[in-house]
Amino acid sequence: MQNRNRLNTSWTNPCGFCLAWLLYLAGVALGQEPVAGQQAAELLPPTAVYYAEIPEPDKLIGALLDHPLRGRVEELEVWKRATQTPEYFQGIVGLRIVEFALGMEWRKALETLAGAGLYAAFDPPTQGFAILARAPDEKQLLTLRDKLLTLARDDAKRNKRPDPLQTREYRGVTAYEANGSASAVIGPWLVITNKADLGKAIIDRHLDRPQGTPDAPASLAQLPKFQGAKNGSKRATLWLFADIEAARASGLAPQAYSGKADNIIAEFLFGGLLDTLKQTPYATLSFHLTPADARLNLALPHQSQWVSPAREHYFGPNGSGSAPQPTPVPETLFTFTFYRDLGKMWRRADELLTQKAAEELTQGNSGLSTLFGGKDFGEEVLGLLGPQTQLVVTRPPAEEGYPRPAVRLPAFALQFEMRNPEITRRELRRTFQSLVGFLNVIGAMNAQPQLELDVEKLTAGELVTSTYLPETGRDVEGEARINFNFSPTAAFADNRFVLSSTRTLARQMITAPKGEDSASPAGRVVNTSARLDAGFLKAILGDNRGQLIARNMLEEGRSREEAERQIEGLFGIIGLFQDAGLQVFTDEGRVQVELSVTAAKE
Amino acid sequence: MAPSLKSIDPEWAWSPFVPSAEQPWNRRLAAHLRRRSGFAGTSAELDADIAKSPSEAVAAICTAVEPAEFRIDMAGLARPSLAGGDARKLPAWWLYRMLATPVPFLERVTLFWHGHFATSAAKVTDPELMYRQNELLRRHALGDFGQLVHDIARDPAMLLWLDSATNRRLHPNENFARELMELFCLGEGQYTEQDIRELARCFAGWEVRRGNFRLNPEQQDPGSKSILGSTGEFSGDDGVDLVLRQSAAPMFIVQKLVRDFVFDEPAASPELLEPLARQFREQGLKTLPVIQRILSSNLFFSRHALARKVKSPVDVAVGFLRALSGTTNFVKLAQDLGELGQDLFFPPNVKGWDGGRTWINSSTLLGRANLIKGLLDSGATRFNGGSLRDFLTRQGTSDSQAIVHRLEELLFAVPLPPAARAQTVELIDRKTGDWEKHLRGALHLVCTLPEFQLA
Repeated sequence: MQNRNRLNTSWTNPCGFCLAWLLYLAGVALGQEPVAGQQAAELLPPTAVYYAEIPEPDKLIGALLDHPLRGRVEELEVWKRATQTPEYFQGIVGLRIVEFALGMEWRKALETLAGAGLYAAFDPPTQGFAILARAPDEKQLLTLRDKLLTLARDDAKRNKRPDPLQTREYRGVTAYEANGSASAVIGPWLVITNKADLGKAIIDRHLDRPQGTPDAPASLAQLPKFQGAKNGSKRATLWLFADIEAARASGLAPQAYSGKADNIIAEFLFGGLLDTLKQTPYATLSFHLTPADARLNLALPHQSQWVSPAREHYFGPNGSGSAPQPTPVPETLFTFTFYRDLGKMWRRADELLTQKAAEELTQGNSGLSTLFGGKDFGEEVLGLLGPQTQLVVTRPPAEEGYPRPAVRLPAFALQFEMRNPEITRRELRRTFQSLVGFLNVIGAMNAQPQLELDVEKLTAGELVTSTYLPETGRDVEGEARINFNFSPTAAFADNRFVLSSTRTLARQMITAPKGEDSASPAGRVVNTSARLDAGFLKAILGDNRGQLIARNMLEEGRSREEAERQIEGLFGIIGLFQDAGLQVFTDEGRVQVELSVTAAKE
Repeated sequence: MAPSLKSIDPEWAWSPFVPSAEQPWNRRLAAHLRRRSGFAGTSAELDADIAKSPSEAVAAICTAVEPAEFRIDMAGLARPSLAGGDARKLPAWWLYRMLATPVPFLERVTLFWHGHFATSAAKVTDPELMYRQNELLRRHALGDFGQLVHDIARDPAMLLWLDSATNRRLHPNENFARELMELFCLGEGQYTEQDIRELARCFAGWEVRRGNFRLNPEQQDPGSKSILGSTGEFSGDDGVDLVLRQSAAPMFIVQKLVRDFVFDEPAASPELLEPLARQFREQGLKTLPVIQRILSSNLFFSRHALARKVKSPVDVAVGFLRALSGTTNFVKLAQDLGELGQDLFFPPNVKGWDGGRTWINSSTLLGRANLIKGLLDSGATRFNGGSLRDFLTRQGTSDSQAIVHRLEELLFAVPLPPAARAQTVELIDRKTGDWEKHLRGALHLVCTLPEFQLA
């Protein structure tokens, strides 16, 4: 009891909560036998709302530092420059000094301290942050701790400062306090926290190993939602748990749980998650890293009945709406496919958006209505379209009869499904023709070339094309105006309506074979999917290399040689990757957002 | 001491400057020459100049030829700016060219002609045409003024600017004819309204089609015209030649050259200008020999010229960067110069920029200080590719007195006031904090002085 009172410090400063802290300060255990096999979550109070774990830190470091692409990274000019700065050399020298004092290299020191896991948590009742590092070997941990203490004290002596460490006792555990934070070693655990109460709570759980119940859990590990989160997650390189229910109750960031989006774009992209956030008990974030790829996954428990009728546009009836497969066309840079009933979203925007955003949309609505010949944009334009939509962006295909422009912009096509093709096709064709006329009027006012309308019949469907007429003696091959990146085209095939920036891409879209269904796991409904191909990104940037170099010269004031090196560095970085993807899907009672990046093959 | 401007002997004025014990040829005078002929000189350029005689130094500046590789490189840099179809991209390109060129004299004279044949992209809108005009000005900047006028008369950007995209025989556009005489060749009072109407008939059928000049034979006026005392069936080219043959033409041009290269005010008298005008006329309106004579002259190196011009915004910024081997974000710089009243490719009207004292008012003075601060605060601003500290150290100037002396020599046409000098030294000598920051602060401090505005 006496010890309890003595460890009543004011650990208020959260600074120093980083890995470097581990290398600077360590604590020691006195007279207590550790309880074997405890998990970090068993040491933390059930009130902790945020929890993170890296179960194998050495593997994470190894995956980064020993990656097969490391050689290519080190060949990059940007890397070479970064590792030739005085600051970098100072850092390396400092690190070598510490390694010398510890008698081991830093990776070995990190493994000794946290080789069996590294954990962090935030506990709102105490306002405490805690870092828990689990060592594979307690004796080595203590030896390393002693060296760190000596290092800290020797450094203070050399600089004629007082002993930086103050000693506190609690239930036989000695804690070392410095800079408002304290640490202690309990069994294989090194614990660092900024709040005494949280530190005591951790020591109590380590020593007492209290048994709680689902209604009255004694630790975070016994919290049913934490258990649910753990059971629903695969072992990850980095895993985070957030108690959304508690966060909602705390009143922090209420707009995140209001169910209303700030603007129509946010509603389009993430609207479905807003209703889930209002109800879901927790969220997990997993990061998986392998030599081949990296994946970041956000998962929230989700039930289709949580989705309000106004937001049915997002997941579809009973959550069954799925994104279409992207149409396979040559040299595809980017695809974005999604299920959204855009007409329904537009019509019910008042219920989905904040008041301010809804008012702004109403103003925009009247402008769009004018543009579309007095039609109601939500009802009579978007309402004609079905919910399965895709955007395809490609490296610009060669356009017959066109000079090659100096700036080569990617070609893009939006593919919609028409609800009633017989009626919708005529409406959309007429609207497209009106739009081209409108563009010609604007173009004429700005001395821009004019678009010529034409119709092209194919077996697969019909194209309504518009092309710029090359100007004799004006546009030189390879140096033509930026306009020649475009030949706006509307294409119609069965129930598909394609709006494309170029005639060739429109033709490719309607003549391509149907996209093959990818092998999604059973029960998974992919709502949104995006993929970026790094190879074609690099190719398109390569097409515009001169532009990029010129821009770098003018905006950064560099010489051509310097600018070329910069751009080559950019290409080198892109060359490290194969592709990147994003998916929003529902699966096993959860809604998940997954971001993935695939490394380039060696 | 040189006599007052009114009593100056014109022959003495334009005779070659010969250094004397009273006025030795030194880095200060070399800096004056570099400022006027090419925005500013670097320390190395000043060293090279004083190793020669003044005339040799001027000759080296005037006869330097831009390497073909540089021209190709700059043309390549312009293409992406043109490709987007936005004329707003061009000012940054030209500023880059002004700073990167090994022949700044050529850019300085091209800028003079840009102000003389002022054409604005605000109306022309097609950047390709503005770029072509800029190249035209550069091509003829130091050559035959007559040929320059002939080419300008057929320049699509100029014709669009002066509403001559279509020019019908029954309703010939008088704008170009008027400006040809009033602004480009003769000046006010040298022609009548009847001359304008008759000269305009010569240009009937001179049109622009798809960005190119076109002579429309159906719209040409083959009839007899009476212009400036001559009568005949003059074509457009004949009309230009008639104007160029007027005795007022050489005087008009040399008067503008002297104002641009020697002093803003007072206006030089016809008597003072006569030797230059005579040379210009006798040498077939060749520009380079006249400018070379101006830059070599007694008057140019006299107290009548030293610090007797107000720097234009371009002179301020490009001079600052050139003197210190600096580079920066040229897109941002172009915007800033536009706000200070010198929007390259966008002159305010057909008369161009008034220049002189009109550059300065309470607002632009503050803006100029902010311009320099913006340059010094920008992460893109580097001096010889690095920090100001490294640049000055490599120049062998590492103590505060030497640094201030160097800055004064490179950037100022007059000595720094003692109080400002002491304050600057004190700022550099501060022991605490980041020395690079102190150096940039000191540089900003001296550039806020009224003396910095003089060239």
